[in-house]
Amino acid sequence: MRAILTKANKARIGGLIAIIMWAALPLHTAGTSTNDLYLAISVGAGNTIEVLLPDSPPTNELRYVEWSTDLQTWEPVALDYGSGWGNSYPHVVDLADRPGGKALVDDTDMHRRYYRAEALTAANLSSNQLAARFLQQATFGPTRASISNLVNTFALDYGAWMDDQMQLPLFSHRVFFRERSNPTFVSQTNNPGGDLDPSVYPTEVGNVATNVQIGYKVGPADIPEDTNSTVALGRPLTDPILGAGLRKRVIWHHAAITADDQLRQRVAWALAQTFVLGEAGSSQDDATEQWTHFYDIFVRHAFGNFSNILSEVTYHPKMGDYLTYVDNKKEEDTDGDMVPDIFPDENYAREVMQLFTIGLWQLNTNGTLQLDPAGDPIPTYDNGDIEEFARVFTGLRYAVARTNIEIKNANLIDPMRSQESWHDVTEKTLLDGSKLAASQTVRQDIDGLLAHLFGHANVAPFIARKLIQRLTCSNPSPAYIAAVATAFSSGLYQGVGSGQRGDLAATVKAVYLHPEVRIPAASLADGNGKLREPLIRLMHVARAFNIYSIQTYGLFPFHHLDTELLQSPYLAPTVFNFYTPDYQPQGNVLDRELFAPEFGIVTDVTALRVPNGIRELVYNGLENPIGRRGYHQAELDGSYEIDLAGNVSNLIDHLDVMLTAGRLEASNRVALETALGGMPGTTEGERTNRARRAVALFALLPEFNVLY
Amino acid sequence: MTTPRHISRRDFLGEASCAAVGTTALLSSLLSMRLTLGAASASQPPASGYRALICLFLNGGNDSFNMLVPREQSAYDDYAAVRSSLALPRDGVGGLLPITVPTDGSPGSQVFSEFGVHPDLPTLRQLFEVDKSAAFVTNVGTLIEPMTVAEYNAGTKPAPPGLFSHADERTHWQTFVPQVRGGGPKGWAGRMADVMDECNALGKLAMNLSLSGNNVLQTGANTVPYITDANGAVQLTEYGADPTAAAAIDSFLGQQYRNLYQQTLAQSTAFANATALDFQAAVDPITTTTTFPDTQLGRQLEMVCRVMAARTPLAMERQIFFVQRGGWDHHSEVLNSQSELFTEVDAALAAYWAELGLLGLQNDVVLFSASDFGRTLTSNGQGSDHAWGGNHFCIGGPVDGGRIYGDFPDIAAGNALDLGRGRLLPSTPVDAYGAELAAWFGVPTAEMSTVFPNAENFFDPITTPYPLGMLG
Repeated sequence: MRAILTKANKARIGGLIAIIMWAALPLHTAGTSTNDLYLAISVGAGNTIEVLLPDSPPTNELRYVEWSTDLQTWEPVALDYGSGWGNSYPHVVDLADRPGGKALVDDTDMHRRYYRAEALTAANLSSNQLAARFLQQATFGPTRASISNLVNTFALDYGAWMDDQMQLPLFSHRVFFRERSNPTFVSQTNNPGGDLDPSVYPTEVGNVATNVQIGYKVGPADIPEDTNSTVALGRPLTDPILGAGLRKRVIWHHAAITADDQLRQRVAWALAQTFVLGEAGSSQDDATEQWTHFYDIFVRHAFGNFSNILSEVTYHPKMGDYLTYVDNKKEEDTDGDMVPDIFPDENYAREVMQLFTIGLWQLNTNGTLQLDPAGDPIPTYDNGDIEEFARVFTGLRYAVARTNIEIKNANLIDPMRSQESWHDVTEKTLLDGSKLAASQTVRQDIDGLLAHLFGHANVAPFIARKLIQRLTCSNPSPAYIAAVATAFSSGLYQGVGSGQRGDLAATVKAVYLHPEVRIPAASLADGNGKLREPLIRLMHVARAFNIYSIQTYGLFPFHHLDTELLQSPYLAPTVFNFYTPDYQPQGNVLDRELFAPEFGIVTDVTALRVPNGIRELVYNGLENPIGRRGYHQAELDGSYEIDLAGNVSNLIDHLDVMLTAGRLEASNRVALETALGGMPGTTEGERTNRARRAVALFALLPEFNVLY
Repeated sequence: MTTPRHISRRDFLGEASCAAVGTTALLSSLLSMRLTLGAASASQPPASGYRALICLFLNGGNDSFNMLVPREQSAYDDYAAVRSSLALPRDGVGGLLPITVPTDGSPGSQVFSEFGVHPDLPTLRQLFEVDKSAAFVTNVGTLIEPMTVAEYNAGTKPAPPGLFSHADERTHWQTFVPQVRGGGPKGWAGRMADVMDECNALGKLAMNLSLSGNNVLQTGANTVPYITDANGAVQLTEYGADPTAAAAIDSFLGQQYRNLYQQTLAQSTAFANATALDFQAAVDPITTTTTFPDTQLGRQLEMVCRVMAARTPLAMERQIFFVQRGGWDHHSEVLNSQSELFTEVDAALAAYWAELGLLGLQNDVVLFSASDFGRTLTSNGQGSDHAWGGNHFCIGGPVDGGRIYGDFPDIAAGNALDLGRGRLLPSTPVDAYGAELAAWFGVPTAEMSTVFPNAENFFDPITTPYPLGMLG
């Protein structure tokens, strides 16, 4: 289906040279060519070049126009996948209505610019492949059951599936922890030297009655060896005892792999990568409840309102600790010279704007930068604003300790309380010149500032881009960002929603249901999609092949993922997350001035360790280097694939649903058939080897690792 | 499925060209021209023999006015007053480790001689004061052109966009083109590799090697770093498992993909897989004689020493290493936390220096510090906030040590460089710091403006390749 350039006319128009090209449409299945794509080029008002765009394409076809200054490097500038012509990121070129259709109005002062049009036809994906593609975006990976559910119960109505997901009972990380915690846990500190003394049994948290434990131990006799299990037989009794710092991650993996409210968990993970809290720089990395309590903010409000997240994060003691504004005080003169020498901490004042709400630069609703008359981006704030807002975040301290929650040496669960005597009560000037009045309380000032930031026009496009990048694609078009930003600010998606600014249910629907990420033809644009997060790829494999664990009672102690993948829950190295939204890997992505955040953690070692980790899981189960032990503590159930493996073609077809969602290139299919077809597949052992190799090879396919 | 479109596109890791330079669309045309000229011109062979640079990046913004402190009494009193709760004691237990610098007006001399080093940096102090193999450079920062406080406040001279923000300043410290947002201009070590790549004509690795992930510093227009970690390279298990599997993988990774991310990933993975074989063969057999501390920096510097020890089988003549330690964003707990971090740094440096001596490379390697920015001189209680100019150190035999280069600033409250809360306007541009290192490393003088496009705003890099006098 190669597009063949058939004609080229060079015309001199008003001193500008344009090349008009016709590109033949790809051959359709019948083998006949259809009409040529035709670009008419003329000089418009103000010495602009106008390129009359072709008609909108038929279903399953992508039409796009590229431009070039050297006939070597072509960049897409406008495209149409059936929803009308739009810009291709990062270009924002006027698409004007003209008699006979749309025209691209090029007002750049380039002396030479060439244009050409091309069309591509998308393959017809099966229902299962379409479902798998969506579930790769909206969950931690498709399973046979979730594909069947979306296809058969919901008839591929993604919106209806999302409505259903949004009303499912939520999986709370904290509740899961508490349900499996020893009810007498909090009394440990009152029982020095006894059976429950944490210095004797520092890992004690769990519920022996349910036999589903998170690091529970009162004595070896309480965890009987499971003699019915060949897996468990002979294993050390300490197997289910999880390291203190690991527990919160085990809960996260449990949610990602097993929770029913997958959409909620996936969106929560996207939000947690916006409001980042990491062990590095935090207190009490060996605690659990306080971390899960913070994470639950995103679980609870994944389809709630953004302003509630902003508020709960701001008052959460974990964030106060992490970004150092707990115990922050108004300026002081400590040496009695009548000149202040201690000033409020500026940390949160800066990051709450730079990372959590408005970002550094004034944005248009479509996410593009606003520019000043000199063509430079316009900062959203300056350092004077930082000093001003540092004074707002004064007067917060930890809540008083209480019982029945995990307390180590301070209350890092309940919202911080105010200490009015530490608060700077002078007037503060906001970004638009309005004021927070003098003599306000801590709550009044902070709530006032948060409301001010929440109301800033930047929040909608800033958060829209972040969510889109985490969930569907790295370089959304301006129209896509605008659609999501509008859902955010109006609280409505296609007229449905709370109507409240910040409605994340409407926002998330706009992210997933935009044609740019739903219509298969749109995915043919070469910048569509994203590199999937390595952690999600690993969870995907675990889910797709039904990971199970006997010895660790259904829990999956993935370990060392921060070094193996450079990505692990609660282990972002800084508040800037594992990667930044504007990371640009060398090569075409950078040359085209596009972004690909997840490449920030692709190095010459992780490029190999990630597929190695997946291979380990496939061949040996959950053990070193991605687990805690030199023997496996969980394994995949590949029985379905092993049964299929007698027929290589069937096996590949199946994996092109489960792992590559219909993206498998024909040439790679040939390479797979060669490699797998050379293996015997008669006995179960042979079929097992073949199935394992198939999955290990799929894990190396760019079609598995990249989503579009 | 679509068929890949075979429009000619530059190979990602192969034949890069000046076209890549053209992607820095935000550069001024002048700057762009300098870069293009440099990238296009042939490089001259530098001095023969192995040389290496090691960038020690203190990620988060080191509070470096507690690393290098005046001990001269009146200057110390100013320091103690402005730093308030953050001041280190001048003398006694936990006090500054004394160093002395010349006051004779020669390069690296100051107006008074008594300074002190943070008490948890005894190795650095020893290298500075006794061995004379270490020096400081003071109040360095990301300037675009010479600027006064009045010009900064009036906005009449350009300041770096995103100044005081971690992500931006960390990038600016790595591009040395702070007028541009982002990594478009590439890193200065990457540009060094671009103009000197022929030095490693037979080398099995890129000139740049990172022990701590992707970074802008080492990314050039034509060159990318090899990025491993303290544990060394790994190989692709499935690739080694079976020849037919290896053939399939070669096929996956060798073909053209229409999707940009697929193409980028395939090429990255193929490159990593191929290089890992050479790297492991050369480095795995080597162990260090010195026992390095089991810390982040200890492990990274141990691997650096192993790679340098393997320079002959790897056929490397010039190498630039990137090691990194995070955790320096001390808005809180600067005294305690910086003490712990300096303890780690110092122990790692001690092992590194000892091993370097055993390798006979102390005169061939220069290690230098870098960080996001300096921090406010004033306290926020227990910490300090983001600022601009900061102090740095260089260690190595070629360093004219025991000196502090640049003018150590007056740090009293309300001093002439104060932009507020003790945020110091830098008095030495990063270009001067980098030029010293680059000139010693062998960047031809004709290429200095390619590597440091802003240098000409401060000094003539042709006639003054060593603007500080530290390495030449």
